[in-house]
Amino acid sequence: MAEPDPDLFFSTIVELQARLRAKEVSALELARAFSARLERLGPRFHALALPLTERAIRRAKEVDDDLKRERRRGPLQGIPYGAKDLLACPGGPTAWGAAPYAGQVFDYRAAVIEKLDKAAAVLLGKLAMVELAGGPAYRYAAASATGPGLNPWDPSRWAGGSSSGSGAAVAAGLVPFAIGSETNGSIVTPAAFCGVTGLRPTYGLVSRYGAMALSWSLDKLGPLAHTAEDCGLVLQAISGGDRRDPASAGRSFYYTPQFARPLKEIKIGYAPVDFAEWADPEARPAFQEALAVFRSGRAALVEARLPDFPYGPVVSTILSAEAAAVFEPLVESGKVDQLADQKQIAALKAGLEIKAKDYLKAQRIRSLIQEALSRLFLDVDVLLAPNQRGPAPKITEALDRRYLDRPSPKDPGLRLLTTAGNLAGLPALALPCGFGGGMPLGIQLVGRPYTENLLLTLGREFQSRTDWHKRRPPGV
Amino acid sequence: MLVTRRKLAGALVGSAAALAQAPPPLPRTPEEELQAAREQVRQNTEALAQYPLPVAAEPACHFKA
Repeated sequence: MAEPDPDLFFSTIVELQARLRAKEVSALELARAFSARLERLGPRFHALALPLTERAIRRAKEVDDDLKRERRRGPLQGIPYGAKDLLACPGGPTAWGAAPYAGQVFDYRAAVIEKLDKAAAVLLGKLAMVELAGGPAYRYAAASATGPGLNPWDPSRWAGGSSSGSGAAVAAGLVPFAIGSETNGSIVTPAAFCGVTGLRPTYGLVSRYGAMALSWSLDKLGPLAHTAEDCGLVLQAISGGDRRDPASAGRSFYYTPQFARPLKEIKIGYAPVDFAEWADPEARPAFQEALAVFRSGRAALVEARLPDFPYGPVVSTILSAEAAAVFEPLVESGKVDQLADQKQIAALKAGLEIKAKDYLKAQRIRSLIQEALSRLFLDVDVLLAPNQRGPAPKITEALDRRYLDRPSPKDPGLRLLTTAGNLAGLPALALPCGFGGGMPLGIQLVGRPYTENLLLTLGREFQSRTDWHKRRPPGV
Repeated sequence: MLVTRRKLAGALVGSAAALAQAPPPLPRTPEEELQAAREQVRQNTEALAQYPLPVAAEPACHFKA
């Protein structure tokens, strides 16, 4: 292949698959072109943890052999991708973004990588992340052994976390899709800050076998890509029951856009205060415009607010206790002090002191949260809210100090939707929706468990009426 | 410059309000950081304790036989 057309790197999975089938490009050419780009630009954004180029070339040749023989493996056949560096894969270290694990090597593949191998997708490399997927808490973007995740739209700003490399790599056209993980915001946050589409699946839908555990009762794996449709195709490939993951729901996901409900039959709950007061002033026009897009599609927009619960203390107690239990050997060995972020070191140590009664109380309140959210979804099909309050922060900013100097609106609206959705195991779709101060902004849609197809329908409709997902960062 | 009692009172009230809104200072040493993390655990405990929990509420994590 001659010098690749720059458009190639920002093509969707569907577009790349069409080019492969038309023999305009081979899987090997795609793997070589994307690998070279990932290795050249990945370090610029601290997005690349480990290139796996030899593996990718070998796999791509196998795919081309299959394509020559008309052996079809589905829509991901020959499509390059990157995986967050918390997924086990032989051929190099899996460092979990953390210095104490720099030399850690697994001799087996995470279930997600097995499934993507089976779908004949081509793994190009492991993508950088916040150390230990954020652990119980962290303060700075620099909380990573590979340095702060830099945003392709403005490298003085953060790519978001903890799936920083996954968000940045998709945004910069280094991979057509990436796998990220979310415990409490780690897919939707980088999706918003980098201006890409992200899908957090229902808890238990995607096997976490071979993925670093941070919080057994909260961890999920999911895709980041250019479009909602691409996220649907990837989720179809990686979902499914797995006895090796005790939390596996034993369910598969089939992406079925042909059965999509029309927008006018869908009731969307939203809180006006999220758009008018909680949002940063520079972000409000884009968020309001996103609401208008759904209105113009004749979706029924009704006001909603989250039931009153101590979401923050509940998630903090559960996440801190589980993370401290997972990483107790790290703390006891003293190697915890090799982590980059002082707040994370302290939070892991303090997490070991959480009392069983508090952990269980948080889990009991969580049951009530689940019930209350189920009742809320009797009145609406999905909830819609700004993903983040505004654009990505500067990489030097203390992330836990954001907004502390501003008075908060009295009405909580749906502001804690990310935390509430994670506690209840609900799926979420993050969609780019415009710009504020030159940086991407995003909205999120949250549905009942296993309503990914409904979220993807709304995402596809939104992306058919807007072009924010097609925008590219300058200079890449 | 003439500083009246009214101006002085206004300035003091203003700075008190500013202090009330100012975020707590960042911990500077690992010991201060650990104290801050412990304080967060304590605040969480306090917030959870204030939540009235029905006796029938079971934890969201279940053992499956």
